[in-house]
Amino acid sequence: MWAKRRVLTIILSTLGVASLAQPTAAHVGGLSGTTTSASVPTWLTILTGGVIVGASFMFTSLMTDHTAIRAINEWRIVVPTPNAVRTAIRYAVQGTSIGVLLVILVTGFTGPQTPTSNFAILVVWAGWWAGYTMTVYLFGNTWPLFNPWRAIAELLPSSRHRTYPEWLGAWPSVAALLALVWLEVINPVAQDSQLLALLIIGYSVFTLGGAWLYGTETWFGNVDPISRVFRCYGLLAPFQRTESGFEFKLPSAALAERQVSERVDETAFIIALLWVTTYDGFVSTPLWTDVARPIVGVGIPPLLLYSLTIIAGFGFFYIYRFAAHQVRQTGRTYVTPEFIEGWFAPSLLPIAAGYHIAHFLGYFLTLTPALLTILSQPFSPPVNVQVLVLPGWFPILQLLFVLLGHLVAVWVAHALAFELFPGKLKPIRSQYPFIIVMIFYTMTSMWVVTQPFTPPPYV
Amino acid sequence: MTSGVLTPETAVLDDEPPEARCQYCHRPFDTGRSCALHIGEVHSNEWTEDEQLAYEDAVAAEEDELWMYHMKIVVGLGVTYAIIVLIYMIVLG
Repeated sequence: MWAKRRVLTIILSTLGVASLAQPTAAHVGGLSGTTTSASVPTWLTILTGGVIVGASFMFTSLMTDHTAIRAINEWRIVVPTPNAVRTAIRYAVQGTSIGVLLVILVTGFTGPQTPTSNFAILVVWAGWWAGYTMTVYLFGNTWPLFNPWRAIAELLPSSRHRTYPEWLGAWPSVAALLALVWLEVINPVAQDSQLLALLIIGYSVFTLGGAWLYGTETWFGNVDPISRVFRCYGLLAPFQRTESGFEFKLPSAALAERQVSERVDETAFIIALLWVTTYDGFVSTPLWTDVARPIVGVGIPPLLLYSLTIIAGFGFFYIYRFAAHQVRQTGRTYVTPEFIEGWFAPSLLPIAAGYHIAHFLGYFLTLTPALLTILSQPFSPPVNVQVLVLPGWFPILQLLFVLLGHLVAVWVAHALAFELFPGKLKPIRSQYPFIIVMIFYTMTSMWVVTQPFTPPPYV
Repeated sequence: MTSGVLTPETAVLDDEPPEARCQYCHRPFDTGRSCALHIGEVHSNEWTEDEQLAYEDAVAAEEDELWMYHMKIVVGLGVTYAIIVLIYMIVLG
């Protein structure tokens, strides 16, 4: 799902690590010129990142005024929205998004094979997955409105509703998210527009069939992985939907106000969302190539190796779960580990968003001129595509986004701890296990981000 | 979770019985102080006068401990900062 092959060519120049030649890099623009030569060694950058996360926990522990913490998270401005306006916007947007989906399919099959002059590739990867996703966590979750499959499903007859098995919960969306990212890693769907169009058709059949069988609300509320990704990211956004309209809050404040312990399947989805961003980066590191070659040499099929790795990495869930068990000790509490892990799960979302923006802002900015050109003439793409060349300091910005995600996570977890545990010392002490896990996660991710891009072998 | 009062799922193991339980929501606590703090934070609209006094005592006792804890944090931050500066001086110097 993350258009990593070309995206990471943008990231690879991070912190003076020499870029490796990558075929599509030429289309994206003269990236080799963006390499910086910082004299700070990579290990020190990574260590500093870990220390900053640890120190930010120490800083937040100085803020123990429960009322002040709540006041920050509860601050809001209600934005009134008349019903008539909402309905009018809804029909206009849904019509447009169904139209865009059709143009994507047509250009996917018939458009030019150069990724940067293909409407389908540019709109799906640069426009939608990079740009639109950013608007979801920076502005608000508009996906229920934009989702073309939902609009189509609502138009189709919805007879023969089956009851969705309660015990399945969010598990199908966890499996579907891992499967989508796995497909993206092993297939060149970010370059091959026909393959992308086939994938979209497959997804459409699956989604519309599911919505027809189980009902639109049930399907998009439980099973559909894309809707759930945007719902999760939307919790970070300043604009939140309420019963009477919209309200404007501080970013991420809605996370601290959840007051719910997520179910285990919902926690698993949040962990999966976090892990797939790391997985996508990890398979493009030289270390992965070094590890994968001997394993495949022994006779393990590469596709099996990629599948086993994405499943094994999901084992981070158990590290998180172990940390939740430890909270019982450090926080000296009788609250169950299951409740604790679900309670703090939303605090992981800013980390996932931090990686997303670190990975995709450069990609999005580079391709914006090409995207704007193609949007105005989808069926007659220009021969010479314009791209933006990013300044040399851009990679540092990417590290800062990764770090910012973790800092917001520390703050959200701090606020959540004050809601759950009594007094002031207990909430702070309860955070020790999570902070240790977070420091290591920061360092791992910063390591991934600073690695030179290496095309994943065998795929 | 409903009606404004948060009642998290709790479990008590046999070998460490709770020292106190909240009389309103039956949540177990490791110390009477934690329980008093909890009642003050969550049930202050229905508490008794004794519980109010216990809450004030608990807050005062915790303030003292918190002051010491914060001193350690400030020293810790200072030391961390010094170490990082030192590492940068060695590496870049």
